[in-house]
Amino acid sequence: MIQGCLDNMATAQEALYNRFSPRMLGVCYRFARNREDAEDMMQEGFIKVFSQIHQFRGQGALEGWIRRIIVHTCINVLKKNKKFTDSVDLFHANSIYLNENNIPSILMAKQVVECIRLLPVGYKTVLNLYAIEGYSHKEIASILDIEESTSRSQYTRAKSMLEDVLLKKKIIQQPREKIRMVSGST
Amino acid sequence: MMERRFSMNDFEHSLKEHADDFKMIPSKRVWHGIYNDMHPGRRWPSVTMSLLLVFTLVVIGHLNTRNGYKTVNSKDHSLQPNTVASNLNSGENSNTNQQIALPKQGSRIGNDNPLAESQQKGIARQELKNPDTRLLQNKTEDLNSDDLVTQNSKASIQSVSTEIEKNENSSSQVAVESKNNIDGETFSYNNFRLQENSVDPTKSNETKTINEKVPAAIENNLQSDHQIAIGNINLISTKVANETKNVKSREQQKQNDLAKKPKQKKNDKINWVYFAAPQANSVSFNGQPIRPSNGGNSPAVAINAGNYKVLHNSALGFEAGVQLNNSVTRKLWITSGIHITYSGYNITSNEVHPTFANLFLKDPATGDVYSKSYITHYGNGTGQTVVSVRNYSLQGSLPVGLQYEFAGSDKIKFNTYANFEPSLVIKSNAYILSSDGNNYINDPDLLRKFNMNSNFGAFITFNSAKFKWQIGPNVRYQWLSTYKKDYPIQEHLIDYGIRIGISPLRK
Repeated sequence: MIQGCLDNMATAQEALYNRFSPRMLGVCYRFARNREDAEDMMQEGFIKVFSQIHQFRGQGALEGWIRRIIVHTCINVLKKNKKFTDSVDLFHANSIYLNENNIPSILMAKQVVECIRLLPVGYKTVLNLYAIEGYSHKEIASILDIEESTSRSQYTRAKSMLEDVLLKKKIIQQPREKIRMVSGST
Repeated sequence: MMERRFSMNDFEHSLKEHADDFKMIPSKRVWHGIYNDMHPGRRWPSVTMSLLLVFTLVVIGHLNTRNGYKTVNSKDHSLQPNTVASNLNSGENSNTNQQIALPKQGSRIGNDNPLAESQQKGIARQELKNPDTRLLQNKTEDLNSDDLVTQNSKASIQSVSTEIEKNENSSSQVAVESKNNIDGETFSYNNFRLQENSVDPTKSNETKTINEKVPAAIENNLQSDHQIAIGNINLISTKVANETKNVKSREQQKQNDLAKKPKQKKNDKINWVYFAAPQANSVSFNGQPIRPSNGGNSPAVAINAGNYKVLHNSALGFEAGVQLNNSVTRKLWITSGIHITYSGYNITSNEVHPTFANLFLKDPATGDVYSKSYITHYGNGTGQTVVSVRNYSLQGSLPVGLQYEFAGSDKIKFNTYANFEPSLVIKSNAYILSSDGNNYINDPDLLRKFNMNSNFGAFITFNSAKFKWQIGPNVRYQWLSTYKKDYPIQEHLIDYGIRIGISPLRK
C-alpha cells in the first residue's frame, strides 16, 4: 500500500485513506470547532500525507507518522485562523464559561471528546498535545510559539476545567481521598 | 461490552484511551477533495484553455493572410517580352511551312530587271525560311506588361492580316506585272546580252539559251510566287489562329500565376519553428527572514541570521516547444506558441533525526505575522550525512513576443527576439530554509501556481537541404517569486542555454 502511494496510485491512496481516516477525523474533531472544520483539517492533512509519503522512512508505525502530520495540520490551521489569541492570555482564563449542557449522553469516548471540545482553543490544544498526543511541554512550546512555562500552566488549567466538566456530567466520580477526608472530619 | 471507567488517578492515560476510541466516518466530499488535488489530470482547464488560445491565434493568422496581397508585378510574370518572338519562332520552327511572308521594306514589285526581280523573289523565298522578325522586334521593344504583350499580339495579328491583303495584292500584281514584263525584260536583257555578244560572238548560243531559259524561269517563278502567295495566305491565316490560341493560353497562364501567387505569399507570412534548448539553471534570492516582533526568549524561536544561507548549486534543465512566427514586415515577426520548461537547482543538505522546524510567514492581506511548524528530516547542510535535495519547477507557458532580423544575407541571417511567457506551474518541488536557518522544510502550499517569465536571445538562421536551422544563446528569467507572498524570501529562477530550432523549408 505504501509503495502504491509512492507511485501515486489512486487505489492505494484510497485504501490508506479508508483505513486511517475515521481515527484521524476523531483527532481533528478534538481540535476543531465543528465537524466541517474537522473534515477540512483532515483533507488538508491527508494531502500532505500523500505528498510527503516519500519521507516516511519506516521508523515507527505508519499511523503514528500520519497522526503527527494531521496534528500539525490542525495546529497550522488554528494558527492561520488566529484561534489562539483569545485563549493564551491567562489573565482572562477565570472568566471563561463552559456550557456543559451540550454534551450528549451516549458513549463515554464521545462524551470525553465532547468535553474536551468545550474547552477554550488554547487549553484544549495544549491538553490534546500533551495528554493525548504525547508531546512534551518543550515541544508544545516550539509548536505553538509560546513559553514552556505557559504550556505547563495552560495544561494545568485545562485539566482542572475538564475535571469539573466531567464531574458535573457524572462521567467521572470524585476521588476517594476527598470522600475519606470528609467522613473523617465528622 | 462494559465501558472502561474514567480514572482520575491516571488522568492522562484514561483521557488518551477514551480519545483514541473515538472515531468518526468522514463524508465523501473529503476523499473527492483529496483525489482531485492529487490527480488533477482529469481536470486541466488551464491546459485546455491554453490549447484553445493557440488554436485561435493560428486561425486568426490563417484568415489574415488571405487579404491584402500586392498586385502582381509584371517583372514577376513568366512571360517576358523577348519570349514573344521566341514563342513565335518556336511555333514557327515546329512547322517550317508556318512562316510569315513579309515583304522586305523598300522592295518593289515589278522590277525592270528580271534577274534582279528573280533574285528578289529568291530572296523572298529565302525570307520565307528565315522570317523577318523586324516587326516583332520593334514590337517587343515596346513591351512592358502582359497587357501590352497581348495587345501587341493582337496588333501583330492585325498587321499580319493587313500584310495578307498586301501580299494578295502584291502577289497578283507580281503575277500580272511579271507576265506583262516578260518580253520587255527579255528584250532589255537580250539587249544587254547582245551588247555583250558584240564583244564575244561565241556566247550568242549561250545567250540564246539563256534567253530561252529566262522566260521559263520567270514563268516558273511567277507560278511559284503565286503558289507562295497562296501558301502565304494559308500560313498567315493559320498563324492568326495560332496567335489567337497563344493569346488565350497566355491569359489563362496569367490567371494561373495569379492564383498561385497568393499561396506563396501565405507560406512566407507564417512559419512554424520547433525548438529545444538545453539549459543551465541557477537562482537568485532576495529578502530577509521574518523575526517575531516579541523577540521571544525561547531558543526554539530565536533566529540566527548568520546561519541563514541556502547552500545551492546549478543544475541542468531544458526548454522545448513550438513557435509560431507571423510576419509584420519583412524583418519583424510576432511570435507565439507553446513552451515546456523544466528548471531547478540542487540544495546541499544533511540528514537529521525528525525534528520540529518553524517558519514565520506574513499574511499579505493583513500584514500579520504567523508561523507554521513542520517535522523535517533535513538540516541546513552543515552537519554530517550530506545529501542533495532538488528544487525544481515544470512549467507550461504561452509566449508572446517579437523577433527581428537585424542583419544577414540570403544564406545566413542574424535575428534577435524577446517575449513574455505567462506560465502555469504544472509540477514543482521546493525545500525552504526554516526561519532559524537550521533546517529545510517542504511545503507545497507556499508555491505559486502561476508565474511570469521572459526569454531573451539571438540566433543565426541558415538553410540546409530540407530545413531551416536556428542556433543561438538564450536567457530565461522568472519575474515573480517561486513562492507566494506569505513567504518573505523571493526566489527567481534564471536559465542560460543554447536554443536550437528547426522548421521545414517550403518549396
